[in-house]
Amino acid sequence: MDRQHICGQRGIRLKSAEIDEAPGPYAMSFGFDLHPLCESIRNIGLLNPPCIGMGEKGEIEVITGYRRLLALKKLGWPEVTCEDLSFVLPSPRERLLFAFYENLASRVFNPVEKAMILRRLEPLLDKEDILKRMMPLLFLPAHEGTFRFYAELAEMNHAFKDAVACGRISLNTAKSLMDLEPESAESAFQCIINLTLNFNQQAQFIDIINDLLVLEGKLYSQILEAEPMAAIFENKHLNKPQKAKKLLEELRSRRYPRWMAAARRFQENIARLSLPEGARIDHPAYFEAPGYRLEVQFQDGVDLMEKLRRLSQVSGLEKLRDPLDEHD
Amino acid sequence: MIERLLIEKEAKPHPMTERILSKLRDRLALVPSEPGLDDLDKGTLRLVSYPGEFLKPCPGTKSYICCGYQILNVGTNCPLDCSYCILQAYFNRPSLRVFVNLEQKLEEIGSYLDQHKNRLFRLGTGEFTDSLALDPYTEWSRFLPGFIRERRNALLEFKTKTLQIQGLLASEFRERIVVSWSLNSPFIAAREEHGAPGIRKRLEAARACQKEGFIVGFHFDPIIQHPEWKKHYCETIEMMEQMIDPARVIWVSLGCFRFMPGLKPLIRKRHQGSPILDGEFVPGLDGKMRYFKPIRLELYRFIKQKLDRWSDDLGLYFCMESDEIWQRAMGWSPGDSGGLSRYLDMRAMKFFPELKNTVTQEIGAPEGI
Repeated sequence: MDRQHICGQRGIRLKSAEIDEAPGPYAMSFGFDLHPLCESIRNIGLLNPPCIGMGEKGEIEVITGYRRLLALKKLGWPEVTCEDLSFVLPSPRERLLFAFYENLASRVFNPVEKAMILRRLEPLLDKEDILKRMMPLLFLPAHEGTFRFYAELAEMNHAFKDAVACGRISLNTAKSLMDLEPESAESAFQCIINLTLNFNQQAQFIDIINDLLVLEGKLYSQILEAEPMAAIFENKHLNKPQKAKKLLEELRSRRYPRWMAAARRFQENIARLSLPEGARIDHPAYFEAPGYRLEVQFQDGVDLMEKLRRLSQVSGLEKLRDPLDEHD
Repeated sequence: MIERLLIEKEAKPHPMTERILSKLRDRLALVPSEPGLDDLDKGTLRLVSYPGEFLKPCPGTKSYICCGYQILNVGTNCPLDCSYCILQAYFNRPSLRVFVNLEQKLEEIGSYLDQHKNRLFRLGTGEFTDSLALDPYTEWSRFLPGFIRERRNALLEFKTKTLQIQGLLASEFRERIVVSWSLNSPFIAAREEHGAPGIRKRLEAARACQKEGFIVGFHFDPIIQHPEWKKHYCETIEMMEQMIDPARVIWVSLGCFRFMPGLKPLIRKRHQGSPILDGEFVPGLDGKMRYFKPIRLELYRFIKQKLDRWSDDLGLYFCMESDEIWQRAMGWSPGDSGGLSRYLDMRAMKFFPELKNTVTQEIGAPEGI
């Protein structure tokens, strides 16, 4: 086969209705927005024809241009000229690799697309070839564990993959959820999506709740559906970020009772001090570093002097002590 | 238990390879070197000609006070399978490896030590592996004590959980050799230190070494909060009182369980049901997870108090703790890593007076050895 002239050999006009909207065996697109492509085609037309091949039973298999075909259907084009590569790419292996390299050069794959690609390459290439040659092309480490994760990701349900592809859950979160038994994974996933936890919150949520699972011997659903968690979810006076914050606070209190109690004691002690406006005292993260931090906002030197004077006169400041000492 | 031996191509010409082979040939399968086998497989021993550094400083961090120990890097990982072991997540090649070119490298290491005659080197082989678990095959105890004997500015600590002391006892050298055991509560030893002998056996081995003229050390690390931890740690200390002569203990270190965040999922996966992650762990100043400070203080104060009752001259020190913890739990602080180095050097000089010809210096990384 002359690789330089693989296209432009055999144009074929297909009725749009004949083309299946389901992604075929070579589609490498997931979680995309068709709108920009539709606008592009509406304004300047179809520049690159999709490539198709005939399947074993004579069915049309889209090799490249799956998104273009969906866009054309959406735009109501009755038919489309495609490149028929049935004869130049007779085997599934050749068609898949053609689709892979065509996509590779033109865009960045999201994690689910990488998963789809690896899953489809698995029966067609040697494992060594996938690890050493293909995974680096996908900017993935040539590591068996990484391959297994992506292969498993490809098999997850649509909602889960959609959340990964669109960046609503992080890859680390996805990995953690995939390690859980299905019922717990579903409960955790729904909670993360419903409260739109950010990546940092997702990591904390899973870490803490995994610990509680072991410590309390419960399932995710038993923790999340019981009080006080259920009340947080159902509280109509809280918006999603507030619910997320409250949920994590509640989980932390259960997982880290001594740390949370110390933090509360510290806050109570500070609140009693009546610090001047613009002044605050913070403790170091987890009380690990020694000492505390005083932050003062001021307009100018005179304002600063005044605030420092008032600070020095705050009643009870001299009694401020390490909240850890109170428990030592 | 070693079941397979894997010899990398470059390792073949080394005498240590031949020695290990001769001891294991009859009962082990030899497997070809394949990339896929380089994982956390406790049953496969890889013999490697190591191209990297053989002498490196203990990987301490600036945020906590470090002992300034120098690692003599003889291999990585160990055949024991302690659930808390940091080595599960530490190396990018987590397999059980022995560096068979050590004997060839000793000349270079010796030359470096000799060039710094005024500096005291506290060396140890027990940071990246157990110092004695593989000794019946590697015979580290046959040639390393002799090497140290020639260096009057260095001591070598064999740190172990095993009873593999036959090689050491057979050695004619005792000078500047410390044999130390990692200790824990019998509860933790039985449940979490898979493949390691019980605490009583370890202390019996320590006693045997003391009787044969060795100076010994102990390391309570990692100290783990667990049900009835006070009672269980007391059991260990009581056994020490019964079996060990405190006058021949160079140091006892205390270190609470701490781990890189990446270790947690590995422990959950490899050691399901282990309670070691149950405590309140918070991120430390070095990014490792540590018990919340009051918990560490409680653990340290209790164990220190019990050890103090046994002897007030054990060379107690904390491994990777803050100045604040030192002050509050130990009642004094070396201030910084340099201070702790000096304190431990003084302990070393007390037991090995010939080291008094050296001066404590800030430990830096030797280059390329």
